[in-house]
Amino acid sequence: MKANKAIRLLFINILAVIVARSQPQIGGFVEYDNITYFKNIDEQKINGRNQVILQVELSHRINANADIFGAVEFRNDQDDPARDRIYLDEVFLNLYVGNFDIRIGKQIYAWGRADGFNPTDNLTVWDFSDILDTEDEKIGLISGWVNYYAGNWTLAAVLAPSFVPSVLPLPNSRWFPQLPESVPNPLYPQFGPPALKANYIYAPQVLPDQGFESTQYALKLSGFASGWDYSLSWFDGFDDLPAIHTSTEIDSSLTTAEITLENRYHRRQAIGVDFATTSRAFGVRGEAAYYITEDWKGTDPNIDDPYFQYALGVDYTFRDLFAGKDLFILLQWLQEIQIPDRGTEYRIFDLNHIFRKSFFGKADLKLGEFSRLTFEGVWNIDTEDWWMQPGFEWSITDGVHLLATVDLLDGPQDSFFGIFSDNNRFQFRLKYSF
Amino acid sequence: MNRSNIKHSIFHIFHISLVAALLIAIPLSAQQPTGREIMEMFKAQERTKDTSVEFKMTIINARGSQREREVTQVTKTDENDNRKQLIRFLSPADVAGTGFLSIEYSDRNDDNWLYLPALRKTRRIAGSDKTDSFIGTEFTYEDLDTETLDAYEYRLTGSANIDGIESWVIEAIATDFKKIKETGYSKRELWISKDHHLVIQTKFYDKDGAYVKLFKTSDIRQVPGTDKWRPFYLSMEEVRKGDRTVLSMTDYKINQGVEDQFFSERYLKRGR
Repeated sequence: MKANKAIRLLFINILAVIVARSQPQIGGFVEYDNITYFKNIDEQKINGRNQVILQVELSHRINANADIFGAVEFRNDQDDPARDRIYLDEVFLNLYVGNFDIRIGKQIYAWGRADGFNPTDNLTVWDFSDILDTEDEKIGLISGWVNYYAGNWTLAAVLAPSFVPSVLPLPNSRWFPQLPESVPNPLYPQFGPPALKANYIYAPQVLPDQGFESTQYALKLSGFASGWDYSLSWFDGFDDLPAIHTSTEIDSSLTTAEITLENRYHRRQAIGVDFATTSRAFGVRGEAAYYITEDWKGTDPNIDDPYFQYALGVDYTFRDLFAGKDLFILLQWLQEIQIPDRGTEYRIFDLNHIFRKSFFGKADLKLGEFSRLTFEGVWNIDTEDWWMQPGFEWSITDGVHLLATVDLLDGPQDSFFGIFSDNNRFQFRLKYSF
Repeated sequence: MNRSNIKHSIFHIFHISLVAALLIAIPLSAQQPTGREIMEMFKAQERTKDTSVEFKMTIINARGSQREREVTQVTKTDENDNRKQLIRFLSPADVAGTGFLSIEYSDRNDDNWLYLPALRKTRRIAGSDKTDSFIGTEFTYEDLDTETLDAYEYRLTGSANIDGIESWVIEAIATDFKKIKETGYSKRELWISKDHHLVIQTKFYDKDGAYVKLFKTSDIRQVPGTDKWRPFYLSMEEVRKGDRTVLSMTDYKINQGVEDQFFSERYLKRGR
């Protein structure tokens, strides 16, 4: 809270400096965003989105070696007033000193060369309140970022003095998982049903202590040679997603279980690599990270055991496929491997472990210079659930962009996309950039 | 006048005409450079160590609707003949900040990166086909490439006055079929100005020999502080569809000593 207040004050001060010293560059966008679900599932849930966003961005070049940038978002959602906000997206100072580029402030990171799934992008915190709509939903991290350049090499170091978790869906969201209404009686599990009625209590989340313990660090060495880009990275910080710690109390009549759910955030380290190369019209990309969690020995069922994730993909552009149209195709394989393998099973809705054996695909068919048909999709082959998003994009005129997509998802009821199979929907977005 | 006199007079006129024709023709052929020599003069005018240019690009379709982009382009050719290029969009707002960095090597495949500010990421991309449209314009990547003299046979076909500029007319035909396939053109006709040796007009013919595009330049000025001349207005028209792209140069800088490190991911992302 104190940090947020300090950032707001910093932003106001920066604004004052910009306005006082010169004419800043002002940009940003206005966006109308509508989501309509194919069917309403529950009157208690928010069954749509009808929002307007105004984002104002200010930038100013102080001199040849310094500039500043700030972006603030004003959001109003007619369908869900809880989403209304005035929010500081980013505010930072850039310094260019010799071979060093330094950025200090609230800023968004985008590490990793794979598409859509980036195991090395651990500094980034997301707004997952709508799990399918994460575009432009990265959350800035208050931090310092130093890049040192030497020839074809770059060494980056990040220090973030505090931790901010990702935003998760609220209980009134259609993306909040439906928890089971009954649970097996833990005292007599061998007798099976009748099970106990489950009564869930959501305890306040437990954040790491503010102070030195919550400091996060990251290092990345990247370079390129002979047609290859590559990097090696190290992250020591917190999992942006919580481990859900549960405790159960059974009432004296042995009919109801009170289950307390408490979100706790645990420290972890990740060592990562990525690469990208091209050959003729092919692009090849890969990214991998090994996560060293707090439960290295695998003794606490609430905390992840160590695991390895990777993505390996290839893309190709078919030129003049028909009537002069180009088609871009990307296919990527995603996998998670537990090392050491302890046969750990994850909760279905654990966002860290959705893609364990999955294909991710993407296609763009260019209809003209300013319009295209798009497609994205994921198929989890181990759990047999899937999501796909056909869409249409059109740059109506300079600065005005229209996007229309349909989200379709399905799978068995014990799979991630399966539990949200009622959330098929249509999204329409009209954006004017200025 | 008898027949003998007439015959004599005709012979005399023919003789004078022949001598006159020789007098005219011999000095002309001695003075006229060959197609190749003209293109070498053009190449010398074109050659720089580095060039920075800012321009407004207007894409006009046959129905008359227009899109405008403001772009900066910095190019440099090093001592190994590797050509480096950094292009950045300044407007419109939805593409502003997008950058394209390419390093064309003389001895291996090119490196190409695209920076998309919305994603905050630099992405290595496969090299473009030379016949692809350059960022939605009527120009292809081939059109913007430097002239490779050894890949063509140049023939001087005459002289013409184009918009008040005296020009040589050159026919350029690729020396092998591979080049035709790579560029998409079977033939070009170039009008090279006699004063500054710049391209004033080019007609492009596709693989089947059909006339497809017309390139024109005007507003030729000397770039301040240099002996180089450049057109500040360029247009390319797709003659069958009627679509047109116009480039209006607003700032030209030549041989400013742009450093190699400018052509890097650091500057691609940084924007200045």
